[in-house]
Amino acid sequence: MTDDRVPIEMIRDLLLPEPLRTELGVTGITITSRHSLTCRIDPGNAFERRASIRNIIDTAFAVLVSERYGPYDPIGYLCGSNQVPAAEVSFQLQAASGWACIFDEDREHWYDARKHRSPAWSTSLRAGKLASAAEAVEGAAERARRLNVTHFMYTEPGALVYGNNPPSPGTDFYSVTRDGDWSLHQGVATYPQADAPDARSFARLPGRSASRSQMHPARLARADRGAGGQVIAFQPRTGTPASRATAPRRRR
Amino acid sequence: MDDQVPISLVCEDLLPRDLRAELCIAGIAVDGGQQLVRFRIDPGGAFQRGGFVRSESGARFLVGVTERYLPDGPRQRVGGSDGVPAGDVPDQLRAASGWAYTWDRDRDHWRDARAAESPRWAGSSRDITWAARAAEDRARHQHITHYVYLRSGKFVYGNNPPPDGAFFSVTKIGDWSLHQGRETYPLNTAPDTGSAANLTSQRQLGPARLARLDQAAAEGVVLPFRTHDVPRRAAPPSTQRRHR
Repeated sequence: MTDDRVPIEMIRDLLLPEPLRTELGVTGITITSRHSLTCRIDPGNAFERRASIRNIIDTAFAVLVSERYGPYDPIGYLCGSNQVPAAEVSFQLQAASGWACIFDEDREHWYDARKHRSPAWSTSLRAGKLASAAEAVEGAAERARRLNVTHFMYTEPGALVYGNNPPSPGTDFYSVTRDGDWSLHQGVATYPQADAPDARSFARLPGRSASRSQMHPARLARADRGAGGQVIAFQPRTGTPASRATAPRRRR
Repeated sequence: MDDQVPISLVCEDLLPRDLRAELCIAGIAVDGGQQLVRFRIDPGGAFQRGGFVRSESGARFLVGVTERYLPDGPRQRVGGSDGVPAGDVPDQLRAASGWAYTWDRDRDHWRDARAAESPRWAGSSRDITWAARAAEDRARHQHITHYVYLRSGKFVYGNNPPPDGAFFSVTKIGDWSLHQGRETYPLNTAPDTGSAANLTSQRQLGPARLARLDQAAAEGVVLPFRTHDVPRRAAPPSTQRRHR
């Protein structure tokens, strides 16, 4: 029997087209094997959310979303689809991301739900030097990896701080997990980062909350969702949107 | 804590009327535990296709589509999703039904792929109700799908379908379908005098058939790696993510 599967690297842009990457804040795309990839996506109220796409057989894909709700929690499977045709993968990823947002909507934001890490530990370096920014980034990532605990970085007047607890509410900050995944946290929004922050990133940190025009598209999308009203668990769709959603699927 | 909602209470929302018409849903059955609803849907080029919705914890649902490609072939899972909110169940069922079409598009129609039953056997009656009951009994006893059709004013029932014209089929577990040309319509009940008229009728049956013709008119099926064009892709995400 021959393996008809195309290497996933070759169709990465089809599976994760540019508009989708922007909308879902996709970063850290990693080809984990010849036929599977993972990436981080907009986590909503959770600390971290990941998507996984696997080419199971022929042209059939599995699309899975998993989540780490609190910074110190394990990653757990949330939802997904299987036997998805390649052309539907991006659509299903959008859908699964939407489901994840729905299920987390009634939960507290991870920042409020997290337990305070005890004993609290932090250290600060003098800000304003490139060396100190790189040192702080390295130090936080190293401690996170060595202690298996997510660490956080933020600025205080004249200093860069990193420690095992996030700063007090209203302060923007970065986080790094034990796997070395960085995120930027601004208010209730979390932005997965492709790379570790640098000195210029820290220079922008003190801003407490960006105006809407400065928001990242993922944040705008989330704000739009928030404006759509509360979840009504068993409210069916109206006929019009359902038929709009159906038309492209069944007319292949 | 068990926060599962009895599925019969939300069946109308999970399988709304327009979806039932579009996918030709028939034979809706809720299991005793109130966690699973099964039904049959428009099978496309396959002999039989089924859908199911299972209630999971936290108001989430598992949605899936299964298929029996040949009349007495094995039932296979075609696709599905889990962790689906109630409001998205109809759309996911549509999607999974669409995927089933995609996967089957290069296969022969079940009538062309099916091997004839041998030895051939057939009986006849002037009474459709009697013929239907006889076909159902034989299908159950012999574990072979049987067929009912009209020939020279009599209703013939046997273990092979007619070479042309409309006919009914009944499986070993009593699932009835009407076959008109290449179309298959799942039926809720055995045919009676009223439904026998469908064997000679040339008119279109309903929304499911219209939907399928509509689909056929839209430049065939897409190649596996062809993306949707932009205007078509633009609409679904907003409906998927803004339905709360």
